[in-house]
This record gives sequence, C-alpha cells and structure tokens, in this order.
Amino acid sequence: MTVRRRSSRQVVSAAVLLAAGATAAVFAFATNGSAARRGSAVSNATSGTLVVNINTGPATIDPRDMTSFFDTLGLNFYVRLMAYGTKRGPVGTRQVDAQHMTPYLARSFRVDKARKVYTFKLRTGLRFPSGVPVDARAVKCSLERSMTGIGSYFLQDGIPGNLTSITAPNRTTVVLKLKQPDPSILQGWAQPAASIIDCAAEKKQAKTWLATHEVGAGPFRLVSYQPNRQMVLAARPSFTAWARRNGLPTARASRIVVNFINSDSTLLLQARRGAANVTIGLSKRSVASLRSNNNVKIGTYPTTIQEQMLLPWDKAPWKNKRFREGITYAVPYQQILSRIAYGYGKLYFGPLPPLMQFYNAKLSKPRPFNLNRARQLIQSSGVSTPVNVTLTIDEGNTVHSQIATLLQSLWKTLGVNLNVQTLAPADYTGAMFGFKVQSAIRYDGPGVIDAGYYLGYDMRTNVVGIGKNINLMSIPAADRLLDRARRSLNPKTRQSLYNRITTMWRANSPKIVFYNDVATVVLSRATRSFTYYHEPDMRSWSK
Amino acid sequence: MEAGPIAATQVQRTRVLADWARATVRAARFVLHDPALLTATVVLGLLLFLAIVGNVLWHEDPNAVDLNQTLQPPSAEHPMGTDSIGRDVFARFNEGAQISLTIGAIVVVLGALIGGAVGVIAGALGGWADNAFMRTMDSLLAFPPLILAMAVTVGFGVGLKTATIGVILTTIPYYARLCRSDVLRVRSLSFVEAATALGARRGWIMLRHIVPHLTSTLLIQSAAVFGYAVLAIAALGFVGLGAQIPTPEWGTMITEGLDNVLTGGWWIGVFPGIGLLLAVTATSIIADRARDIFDPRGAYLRF
Repeated sequence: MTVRRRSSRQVVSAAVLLAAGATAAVFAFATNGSAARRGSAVSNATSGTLVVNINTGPATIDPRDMTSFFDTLGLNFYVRLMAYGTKRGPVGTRQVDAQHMTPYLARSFRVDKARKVYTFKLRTGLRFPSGVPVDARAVKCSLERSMTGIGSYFLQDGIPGNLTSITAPNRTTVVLKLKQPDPSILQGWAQPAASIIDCAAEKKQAKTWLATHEVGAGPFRLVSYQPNRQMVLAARPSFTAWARRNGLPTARASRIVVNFINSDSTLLLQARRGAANVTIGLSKRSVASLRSNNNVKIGTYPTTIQEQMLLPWDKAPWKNKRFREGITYAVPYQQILSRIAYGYGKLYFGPLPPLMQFYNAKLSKPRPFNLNRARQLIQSSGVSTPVNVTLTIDEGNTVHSQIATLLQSLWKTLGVNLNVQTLAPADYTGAMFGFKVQSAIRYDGPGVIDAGYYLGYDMRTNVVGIGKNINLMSIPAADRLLDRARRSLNPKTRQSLYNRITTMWRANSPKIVFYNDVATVVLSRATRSFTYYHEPDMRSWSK
Repeated sequence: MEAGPIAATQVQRTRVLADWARATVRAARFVLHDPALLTATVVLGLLLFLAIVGNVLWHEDPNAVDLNQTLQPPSAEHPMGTDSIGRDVFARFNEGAQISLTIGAIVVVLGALIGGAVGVIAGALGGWADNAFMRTMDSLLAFPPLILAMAVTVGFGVGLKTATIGVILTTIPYYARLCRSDVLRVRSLSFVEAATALGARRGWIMLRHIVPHLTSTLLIQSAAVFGYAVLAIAALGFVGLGAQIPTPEWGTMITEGLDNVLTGGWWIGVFPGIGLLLAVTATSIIADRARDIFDPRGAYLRF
C-alpha cells in the first residue's frame, strides 16, 4: 500500500467519523437525551392522561415556602378559603380574573364595617386522606404554620403584621382579624400559602418532608414526584365528590403528567409533535415559530411580570436623577418588543403593569426612544462620561443577553460603557438581593395581582419585614400616598392616589421597563379545556 | 588535548543539522505531493487569512447590532446571515477565527515554553528535583483536561483570559513529560558525554547540545496541542465559561446558534461549527504528518 492511498483513506475515514460525531453531538444536545420520556409522553398525550411540559420544576411544594410560579404547582393538592375567578380568554380558553374572588372552602364570608374582621363559614364534608376533617381547626393550624415562613408575606397581602388573629370559634367558622383594612386581602387567602394541610400528618414527618410530599385534600393527589424531572398527579375522588355536591369545579383530567424540561429545543419539538397537551415556558422565539403550525393553538395572557433593568439609586451613575432619565430615552423599546420578545408583550412606563386594577394607560405611556434627548439629558446631568457600568444578567437567559448586547452597542455612543457580567442563577439572585449589582436585568412581577401589594415591595423605601426595595429607590411622597391607597376602601380615591403615584414615579425614572410580559401557552389541538392562572390551578385543564 | 572526541562531537552535530535541513526540504516537497496535507495546509491558511485580513476587507462590524436585520439567512449582503440581534455572522466568524487561532498559538507557545522548561530541568537535574516536578505533572494529569480548565476558569472568574490560562495549564504536563524523556535519551549520547568530559557546564550542555534536539518533538506536539487548544476554548465558551458577551468566539456562537436551530436560524451555529471542524481537522492532519516527516527513519525520507 502506497503512502498516498493510505493517507487518502485515512483522511476520508477521519472526515466521516468527525461528521458522524458532530451530527450525533448536535442531536444529543438538541434533544437533551430525553428520548425515553418523549416516547412515553407521546403515548400519554394520545391516551387519557394530560401531558404538561414546563421549563422549570418547583424548588418546593410546601405551601408555606412557595414563592415562584413553578413552586405554586403544589397548590393543586390543597384547598384554600378563597379562589380566583375566571373570565373568557383567547383561543377558546379562560383566564384568571383577579377582580372577582370566589369562596372555595369557605361557603360564605362576611366583613365588619371597619373591614378588619373577616368571618368565614366553611363547607363541610371534606376530609384528608387520614380521615381528619377539613374544618376550622385545620384552617387555623395551616394558616398559623404558613405565618412562620415566607408564606406570611403573601397571607397578609404584603403588609407584615396586619393579620393579628386567626381563631376557630367552632368547626365551621374561621375568624381572621386585621390591624388595618385591606381591600385586596381576599387575594392573600387564595394564595398557595393559604393552603389547608393535614397538620397532624405533617407534624409526624421531618421538617423538610413537605417540600417533596403533600398532605392535602385538594383536587389532585401526588402519585409520584422526581424533583426537576417529573410530577404525576391523579384526581382525588373524595374531592371530586365533595366539589360536585357543593357546585364547585372538579378536576377534569383524571391524571396529569407534568414534565420539567429545561431544554427549549426539546419543549419545542414535543409541542410541535403534539406530544404535550400544554407547554409552558417555551421561549418567545420558539412560540413565534409555531404561529403557522396548525397542530397547536397559542394562548397569550396578560401578566404582571416585566422585563426590566434595575438602576440602583445608591450606585453611580444612577444616583443622578437626570442621568437616569436620560438613559430611559436611550432604549429602543419597540424594537426590543418586536425583535427580541417577538411581539409578546406590552409597552408602558410606570409603576403599575397594565393588568393591575389602578393602571392608568394615559399616564403610563411608554417612554419614546430618542437618542438625542438621551444625550442632552446625560450631558446636562453633571455626570462626566465616559462612565463604566457593570450590567449583571442571568446565565442562560437569551433575552437578557440579547438586550444586554444591544444596549452595550448603543450606549457606547453616549459614553456609557456597559460591561456585561453573566452570573449563575444562585449567584445572580444573591448579588441582586445582596444589593451588590451596579445594574441588572430582571424578569419579575408579583404573585398577587394587586397594586398595593406590588408597590409595597417594589417601590416603598422601607419594605416592612424585608428591608429595602431591590432598586433602592426612595420617593417618600409616593410612599405616603401608597399607605393611604392601601387603607382606602373607595375605588375612586384609590385610583386618584395611584394616578399621583404614577406621575411621581415617572418623574423620577427609577428604572427601565423594557416591556410588560405576555404569557404564552402552547396547547395541542387535543386540549379541550384550559384556564390560565398566574398560579397554575389545573382543575379545568383537560383534553 | 585529544582531537578525536571534539571532532566526533562536531561531526555528529553537523550530521544531525544536515539531516534536519534535508527533512525540512523534504517536508515542503511532500506537502505538494500529499493531497490531504496540502488540503489541510490550504484550509488552515485560509482560516488564517480570514482571521488576519478578513475583517479589514469586510465592511461589517462584528458587534454592530441592527434590530431591523435580525435572523436574515445567508445572502450576498450577509454571506453567513445575521444573528438574533442583527449582527453579521461572517464578520463575527472572522473575528472568532482570530480569537481561536491566536489563543491556540498562545497556548502552544506558552505551554511549550513552560512545559518544555519543566521537562528539561527535570531531566537535567534528575533525583529529587526530577521526582518533584514529575509528580506535580502527574497530579495535573490526573484531572481530565477540560474539567481542570473549567475549574481554573470558575475559580478565577469566567472570561477568555482565565480560560486560556486553564487550557495552558492542561497542556504543560504533556510537554514536560515528552521533553523530559527526550532529554534523558539525548543525555546519554556520546557527544554529550564528550562535552561533559571536556568540562562544559551542565547549563551550557543543556542549551547548546540537548535543547536543539527537542525541536522536532516540540513541533509535533505543538501541532497536536494547537487543535486541542482551539477545541478546548470553544468548549469552555460553549458552556459559558470562556468568552463573554459580546465577544464572537466560535464556541459561544455555537451556543447562541443552538437556540435557533429548530426555529430556522441554522446559520448562526453551523458556520462557526464548520470553522471549528476545519481548524481542528487541519491541525490534526498536519500534526499526524509532522510526526512522519520529522522522523529521520521514516518513509518520507524518499522525498
């Protein structure tokens, strides 16, 4: 064999091997090695089981400790005193209606004249799997348990110390007393933190047991749970019978398999093929690619979440109000919304997102993109340029990196040198809540759809029970107006107060609001019924 | 004074140098007669051209964002298309080539210098010093190379600089071991003995008589290390530990491209992937041939 023939054979073999290896690697990465799950998901999607794919799993399913949207999956195992109402939504679905709260475990309730004492009359006949009745004693001990953890903030609608007493004068009556009236408190008692648990069963277990188990009497029971992989829920017959007797919605799906898939490519592939009946958490780009796909329906729902950029007031150059104002004119909002968010959002500039009750569209008009105005304001601010700013973003968040790169390129012309720092999730959260960031892009919104609740932690100078707000903004006059708005029971008065807060907020340009996010849910054609909640109540989900 | 040993030393050295020169000429002639090697050389040359001159001749700024031109497929205006925020992929490819090939060269040079020095010193000194150096090299070799590079990057902060340092660290033991074994081999040759007998100092013998014999070993190893370095930096960039926003390194471009593969934007990740494939394959072929070419007893002597 000559050298030349041997060498060309070697080259061809090497090239073939390399190409095969590269192809295998691309497919391995693209599918995230979930072939086995995909197979079972396809068969489940076509059988009686509802398949739900979500991009992130819960950190805990203990009602006392749930904070994120993903954690609140756990609310499906429990009942609560109140529940959110619903209204018609897009593509034949329904969506949450925070303006209408409905009794759930409570049959009825009355409020005293001062609006500080709420007396609930409970429905009867529901029992935990242990046989213990779901009664006033269970409500009292569950709420008292949640008051010992992060759940207390939600239970009190963001006014720590407001819930002064929880009593159960008899088995069917619960009395909750507030220190000050709060027109939105009923939302607090619809939160996952207000879930009613079997206290006796929980006490027998280790402290962290409830993070991965459930002791509820709600519409579903937990069949199996592999954290960050899969959760299987089955309809609870005792709840179904009780709900039917009481004219309440029951669980429509007999079995739900929830897969936690953090690969966007895998989520997209499964949504496309109809392997999942409901897909939540797909990137906007992937959702946009499904617009012309006839096998799916895309539901879009308003949220209270915004893509925003923090401008911490204790750090240069954000200490300077004029500089802050200038920088808010240097953002191509419309292009970001259409090219990066693919149109799934709404532009506004104000303290309250459009979904909130006291949002004023006229006063919250989006800030225009005007580089000349930005330059003028920055030059007249007194801050000498060039100025160096470190922008912190969350690792793996494509939207954050795209926005950061865009601003980096654009702001160079204004003398603002952005250095983009990417941090792993735990470090990113730690840096933000430790007030260590000079600026950061943040995707955030309240779990309670209430203006007072939101501004109570996002705008108030001193956030009771937590410390400072994350942007370190301080508008004392707006704080005082907020206190009045939270106490007032007159909607007109409240609207007027929130209008004044909006004006003050805008005048201070405290942060950049890129857009208000619109939630996108991809539904297979087989999905018959779906209701979007900001905290997923799966009772109405079925195919 | 005896003339024999000195003359023998000089003749042997001259013979070795002449052999080396002849081998080099043969190598040049061989490139032209070996299609695979010729292709590899041309490909690498093209990548070097794009890296050095590409963006001088091309009109687009690799970091210029244009939200009106997002996700454009390849065309005359943008030969490799545009990415999700409208940046020209061809311009970024060229800059990525510059980064990858430069870092490859830096890793090769510094790895060879440091690793070579460690190997030479260990081989020259022997005894406890040799043991100390080689056990240290063994401890570095105990870690999978990429894991060690990741650990360095995570420990000292993510970025291209720390990623490069991490990759250099992983190449040092290979150079050290190779050079040490070559030093031990050459040290036992008669001309070295002769020089020692004549009273030449150890350092002088190392520099004048032994180190030149390590050249071919270093060159062959360097060709292999170059390909590894380019791939390692891309791998670190792929997992977010290497180049940071907005640096257009091939690995980070592949990561960005992965997000767009299923939604139609295949060009964002494919072109840097092809660049990586070509660079690594070309250097692997050159490394493979270099070993044969520089082997004085090899088949390529007939050229």
